[in-house]
Amino acid sequence: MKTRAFWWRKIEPVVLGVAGLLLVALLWQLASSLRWLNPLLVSSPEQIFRAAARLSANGELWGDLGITVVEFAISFFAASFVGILLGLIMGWYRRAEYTFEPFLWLLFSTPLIAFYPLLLVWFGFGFNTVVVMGFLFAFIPITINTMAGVKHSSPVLVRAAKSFGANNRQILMKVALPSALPMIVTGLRIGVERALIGVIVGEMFCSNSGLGFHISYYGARLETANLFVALVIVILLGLILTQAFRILESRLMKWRQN
Amino acid sequence: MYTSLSMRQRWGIGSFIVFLALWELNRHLALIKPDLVSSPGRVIVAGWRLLTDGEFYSHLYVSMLELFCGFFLAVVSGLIIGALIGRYRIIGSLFDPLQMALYSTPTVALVPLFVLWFGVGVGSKVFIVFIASFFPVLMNTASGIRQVDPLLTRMSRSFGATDWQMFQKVLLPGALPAIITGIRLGWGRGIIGFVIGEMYVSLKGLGYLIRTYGNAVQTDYLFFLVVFVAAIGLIGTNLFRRLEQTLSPWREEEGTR
Repeated sequence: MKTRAFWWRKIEPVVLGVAGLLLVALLWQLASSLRWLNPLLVSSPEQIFRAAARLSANGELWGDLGITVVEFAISFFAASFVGILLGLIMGWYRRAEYTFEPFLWLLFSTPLIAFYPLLLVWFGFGFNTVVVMGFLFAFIPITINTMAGVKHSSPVLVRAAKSFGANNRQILMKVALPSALPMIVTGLRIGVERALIGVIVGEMFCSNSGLGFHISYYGARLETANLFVALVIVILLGLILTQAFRILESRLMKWRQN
Repeated sequence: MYTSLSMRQRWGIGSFIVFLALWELNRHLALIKPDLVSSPGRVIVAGWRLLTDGEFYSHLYVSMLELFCGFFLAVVSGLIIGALIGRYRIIGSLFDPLQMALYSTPTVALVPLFVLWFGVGVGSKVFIVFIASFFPVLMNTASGIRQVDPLLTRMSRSFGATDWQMFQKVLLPGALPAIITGIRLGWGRGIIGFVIGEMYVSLKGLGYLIRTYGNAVQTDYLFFLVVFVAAIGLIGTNLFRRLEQTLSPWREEEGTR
């Protein structure tokens, strides 16, 4: 009896979670089939499956997914590189921190999307602007978290390294960077979320390809089933990426505590 | 402490002044095309013109209406549903995947859908603000309630507290700091929500003005509006942050976006 309770407790969240999803899908399908809601506007799971099969058969879905993923990857890696580098500098040199921090917070609280007309002028319509938008959205939290991580690396460890004759570079590489790692990963996780937002917004406003563009395109043409296909892919993409980083994050936390 | 703080301020203010000076200087040196980046002087002039023009306030009114309606709805429903999810394990696991998925969705991707459902006017923006700020409130409320000390809930139960009493006297006060964190994060996301919603399609509002001036490359007006919106966000965020710190200076938050 006891083992059974244990076994149930383990799978209960999974069973209930799947049940919840199925329940929502069922209600959605019913609402659409029985015309409680206008099927033209809300579509239905069945129509979405058909649309997904059609879009993936003619390759459109994969093309869009490819473009969005490439744009996302470039902007995220650029943001990680710049963010970690800038964060290390700001965490290490107090004056750099004091100089740049006000601008970071300023940039963090501005609605960056407002600058898309300027980005269009500078980087042209399409791919480049989308990448820049993703980069702008993502690099700030990465910088701030890296900086905080480096700043809060244990002074005892730094002093110990110093008294054993480590030079500045060694302290940075062997002490500050490893102890800042969990914070950096947290920053990267937030950066992933924000890069994806930036790329989708960028595609909606200044591109003619990718998942974000097609969400807005199908919306304007009232093709709700197609819209939902693109939307679900975006949701899955966000879910997979953030969960991967969350797992990495909790692993690192555990490793630190041990 | 005092000296380091004042050094921080000195460097911060100094770099800001240098930045403004370079920006202003750019108008004469034209290193970057001045039309594209404007200059502080011209931004202030543009701001003055907007603020003394009655038209601006009708746009501001529409935006604030959308923001506050959506935000209010998000806070109320986020609190209620978050409390249920945090309190009852079965409800929690039933909606867990759904909530996870929607929390990590870029809410902007929902904008075209909401425009279809609720029209191009105020309605769609209220819902965009709502959905943007709803999930931070919900997640933080649920995790706040889960983190309430089980000893306290057990004790109040053994003294015969009803569900409602327990919620009112134990769970809500215990989760309050987390709830405020959620509200603060929700506020920031709500601001981005109404701007993006209005920029996507609208007839009135600050986002509409931003799009109009942006497309006309009238950067002085554009920059003023951007700073204005950022100020609204910062004021709210600082207010909630202060509230948070008075309630609990020690805790960490769930997700910062």
